[in-house]
Amino acid sequence: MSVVTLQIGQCGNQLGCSLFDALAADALAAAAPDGAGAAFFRDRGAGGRARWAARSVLIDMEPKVVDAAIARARGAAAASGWAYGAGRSLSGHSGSGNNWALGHHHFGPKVRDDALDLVRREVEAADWLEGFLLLQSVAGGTGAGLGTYLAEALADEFREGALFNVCVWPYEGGEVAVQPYNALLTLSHLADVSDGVLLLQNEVLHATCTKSMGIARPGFQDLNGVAARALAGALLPAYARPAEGAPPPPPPRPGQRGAPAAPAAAAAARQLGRVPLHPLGDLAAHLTPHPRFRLASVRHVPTLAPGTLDFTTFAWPPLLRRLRQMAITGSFLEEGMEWGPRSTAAAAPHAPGPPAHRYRNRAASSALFLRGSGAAEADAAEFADPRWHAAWAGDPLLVAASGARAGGCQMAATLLATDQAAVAPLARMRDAGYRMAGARAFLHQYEAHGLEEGALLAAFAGVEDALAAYAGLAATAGAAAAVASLLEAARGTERGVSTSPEARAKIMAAVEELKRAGAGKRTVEDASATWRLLWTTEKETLWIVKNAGLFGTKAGEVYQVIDVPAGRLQNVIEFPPDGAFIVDSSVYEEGAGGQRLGFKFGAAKVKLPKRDFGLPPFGQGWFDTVYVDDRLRVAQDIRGDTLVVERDGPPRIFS
Amino acid sequence: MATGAQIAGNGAESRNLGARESIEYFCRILDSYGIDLSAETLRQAKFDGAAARGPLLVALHDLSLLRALGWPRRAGAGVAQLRARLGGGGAALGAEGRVLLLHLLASWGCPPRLLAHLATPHPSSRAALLALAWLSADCRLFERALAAARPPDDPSPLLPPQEQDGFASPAARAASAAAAEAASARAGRAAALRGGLTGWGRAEAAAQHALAAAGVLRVRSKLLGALADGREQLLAALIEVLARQQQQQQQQLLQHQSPQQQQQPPPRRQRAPLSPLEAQLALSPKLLQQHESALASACAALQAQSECARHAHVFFAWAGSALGEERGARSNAAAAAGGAAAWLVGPTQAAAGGGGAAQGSGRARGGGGGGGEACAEAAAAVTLAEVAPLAAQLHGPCSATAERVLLRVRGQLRAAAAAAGASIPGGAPADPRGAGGGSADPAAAWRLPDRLQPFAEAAAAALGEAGARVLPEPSLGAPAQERPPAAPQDGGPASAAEEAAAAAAAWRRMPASSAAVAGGPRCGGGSGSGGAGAVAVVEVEAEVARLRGLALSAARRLARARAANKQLLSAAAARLFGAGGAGGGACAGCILLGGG
Repeated sequence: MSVVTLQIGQCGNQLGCSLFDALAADALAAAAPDGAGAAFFRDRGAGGRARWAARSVLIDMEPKVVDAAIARARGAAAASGWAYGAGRSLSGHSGSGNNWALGHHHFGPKVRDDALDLVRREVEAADWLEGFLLLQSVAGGTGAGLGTYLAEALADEFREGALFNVCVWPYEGGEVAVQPYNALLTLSHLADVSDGVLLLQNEVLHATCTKSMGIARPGFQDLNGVAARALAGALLPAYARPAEGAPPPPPPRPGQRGAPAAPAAAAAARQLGRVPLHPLGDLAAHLTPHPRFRLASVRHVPTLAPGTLDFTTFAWPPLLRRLRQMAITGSFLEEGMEWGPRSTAAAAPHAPGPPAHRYRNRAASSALFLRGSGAAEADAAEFADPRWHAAWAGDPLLVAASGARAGGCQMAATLLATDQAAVAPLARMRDAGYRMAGARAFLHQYEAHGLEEGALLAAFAGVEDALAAYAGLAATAGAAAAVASLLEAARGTERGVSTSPEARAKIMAAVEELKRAGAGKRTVEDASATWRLLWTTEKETLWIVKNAGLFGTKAGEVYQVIDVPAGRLQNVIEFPPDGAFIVDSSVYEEGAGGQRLGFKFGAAKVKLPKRDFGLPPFGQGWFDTVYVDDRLRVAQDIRGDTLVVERDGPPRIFS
Repeated sequence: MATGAQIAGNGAESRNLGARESIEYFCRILDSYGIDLSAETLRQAKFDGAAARGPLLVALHDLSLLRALGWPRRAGAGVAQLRARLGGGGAALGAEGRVLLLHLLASWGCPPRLLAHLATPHPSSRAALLALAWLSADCRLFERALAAARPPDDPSPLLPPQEQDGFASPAARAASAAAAEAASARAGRAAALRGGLTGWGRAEAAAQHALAAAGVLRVRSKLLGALADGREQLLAALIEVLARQQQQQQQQLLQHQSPQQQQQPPPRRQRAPLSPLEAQLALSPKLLQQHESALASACAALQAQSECARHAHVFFAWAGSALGEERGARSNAAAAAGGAAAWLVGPTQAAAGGGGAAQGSGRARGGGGGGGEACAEAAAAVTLAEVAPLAAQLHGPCSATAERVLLRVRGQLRAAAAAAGASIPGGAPADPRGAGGGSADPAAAWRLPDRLQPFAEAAAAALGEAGARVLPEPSLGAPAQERPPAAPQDGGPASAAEEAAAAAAAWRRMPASSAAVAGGPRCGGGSGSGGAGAVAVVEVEAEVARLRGLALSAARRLARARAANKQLLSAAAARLFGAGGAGGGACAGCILLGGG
């Protein structure tokens, strides 16, 4: 299937040229290119200098960049084998002046028909249209404003094609004074029409060039080269690997559609699916199907300095370990990444990894592309870590592989994820936008071209929604993962009687995570219930549970009954069949945090089959319910002891 | 046993069928049920050949048995065996077989006159032919063949197992299965994940799963739309390629032809674009051949149906043409003995009418069936009364099957005979629950229902008009209160029977009287007896006027009776078969009995 690329604005055209270079280097190398070769290029025959024409339309409001891109491609056509098709460019004579409103409201309707005509011609030259890939910046006027308008027009005109946007995020230092307005307007509009928005941060690209590739003063071409390398890692042909635990599909028969022709890829494809992934369609279906999580980021390893490729040793485990650490820490660079304690992750997806609090970044879904030798067998189980994905994500990871090399590397991995990487820069951009809008800075320039203040406010609202969705990803994912970790670690500890140091560490780490999740929330009301003890550090309770045999009995269940409206607290240790140790207390909310309950012991008794022994009350104190949900409650008391209990119904007073 | 399609063969070219072909077709139908009858026998029977009587009676018997037994498959040998045990041997039909045949025909509503003739010791072969035609029409023999030749409602067994589109290729099916499996696994994982959550977490997870699933569906549907568009483009390109190849082949063919052939303009044919199915067939000769044979099979079935209907039409027309033969024979017989053979008029018309029933529609069938049942009540009574004495000829059965059949025949015949007041020598007492309810008054038992009285009157009048012998059944006499007042001849009251007989006799005499009247004045004038001659002329004229009045009155009665009978039959058919049956124009039974 074919993908038509729209290069819009200066940034989009320059990035597009680099992208086609990267795609051509790998896809057009074979004698009969398939996959990306047929998807992104069309065969023009052997008549001209370049046999392949990029399925691309170049649009800018200034002719300079478009002409430069065409000339650059034509100049390198003999070596690269591709060039832009004739008559596939559209340019004006004056730019958009970094004004989103000018590009969207003025140039958009003006060039709509011509631009769509170019697109239609390119679509007609394709056998099967898969979708559109839009390359644009979010900071300027043409790429952001006109690009957004064209995305909306494409969504209207071509309803069958997927629409994927690659947006370049500007330097936060400020390329353009009004970039907050432009970025917020662009993202909020694209969220409605696009199937996925991939953000490429100039800061990250720049840092990659300087720190990983050793380029002291990288230019746009260097930045675009890094970005194109990462994009090509996701767009080149790949086959979906079976899900973890699923049997591999039977090998394709010779000549069957989907069977890779290249012998090198045959071995890998034996473990893979028969039909290569659709570069846009499958990406949109696996990565960005959720309407609230359309923003995605890309990470690519390795990023090597020029000339070091021949001296680099490749192995999948370290490569993937680095990539995974980048993912869970939210880093885009291998340099200066926070490693912390070494992960003890094993092959199993639910194996213990880093502590939950070390997951600085979480994703709703992700797609991992492995390229090179052994890609089909490389162990990627760690990427299916549920603590890195949303708690509700049922099938969050897509792993695709190809035996073909990418960018000359023996092995390479690209990770796309709808993660929180965009939260921080987006939040900063939002704050800057608020500040500017509060001062009505430059707003008259936008209003002059038809942008109403309400539209700007709607853009802010859209961005707030996106930020809230991604921020909630951390809370839900962290809590669910911590609960799962806590329950798993508490299993077999005899409610704390025989807790190993490792289990204790895990439990306490999970408790800390839950404390963070429950921070600032009122838990007093939710504490009313009958709770059954799962794990505790309270010495008295543990002593009774452990030494019940000394008294000719054994400890049964341990309950805590809390009835806040009735002001009653009861601690119960059962001695089956008829015995029990019951301590009655009064309970009341204490402090203003909404989590603390004070208590004062009122009575205690040992219940025996024939008679009860009364004991005097012995003290008072308080405890905090630091976390509570429908199943679990975690409390910490005045003495620093921790209590983990499981819900066992409504308050049920023992007598 | 051959099927209807095999019977029909493939000769479906549009041409006029000869009677012989249709007779042979009819014989092939009979043969498919194991009944051996030649076309020559049928031809001889039309001309009342004596040699045809035996085989026709046997065929009639076997066909009746098959109908009574519910058209069992491969029953030819069994029927022949049963016939042999019932006293027949080879091509002959024994006495018991004849009784059984008559009983069955009577119970199905065979016209009584025809049945009575078959009950005679030596029935004519023409009567047997007409009975066979009637039975064929009544049991819808041609319609059964038509149904057997019908192509199946579901054409898929006939069509080749070819894929409807390219999406059904093995690779696509494998991809589809893999995708379905992956989707199922995904749903299973999501469900398992939700199972580990409770309360709000579970609800939120379900909501997020639903949103993500909706997103996947949206993207997949877009992708599917793009694939469908691409497929259409590919098919269009394929059609162009095929057309180009065809053009090249034609050009190559032209190059190998002689100059004279090349000068002839090639046949121009407006060709529609190939459908996807055609394009796929064109790519696979094997599939094309399979598809062609399937279509040929379906066409053959439809042609066989058409052929069957046409043969039915011709056959019944031919059988009806026996009427002409019968009329010729009747006029000869009438010239010789006063027209005693007029009773066959009905059956021949029945045969002709049966053709219409077999040709076609449910309407015609419904009408025929309804008419037959409406008339059966009267017909069966008369017939059983006539054939009951034949039951005396029955002797012990030879097998358990024959015993069961004969016991049933005997019982029904005895009951009918008892009800009719006839006695069967050596027979057991009649079943009091039989026809007539064991009434001691035979006349009351044989009285027709009131609603059939006009019909009976009309039949009597029609028979009287034809000069036929009026049988002395009491039921055929019309009630006195329904008769039109006759002109008093001598002022005295006349009985109803006498009036009817007089009217019939006057009607029969009318031509002769008219001739006498016409010649009378001249003769009278010639004789010179003026006063007496004038008085005689006046009397004659008065007599002529009276007779004319009587004739007109009889004609009006006849017309009214026919109309009333037609309405009754239509109403009965409507009740039995709904609206479709009410419109049935061809009613074998009522035509047969003069009611149509």
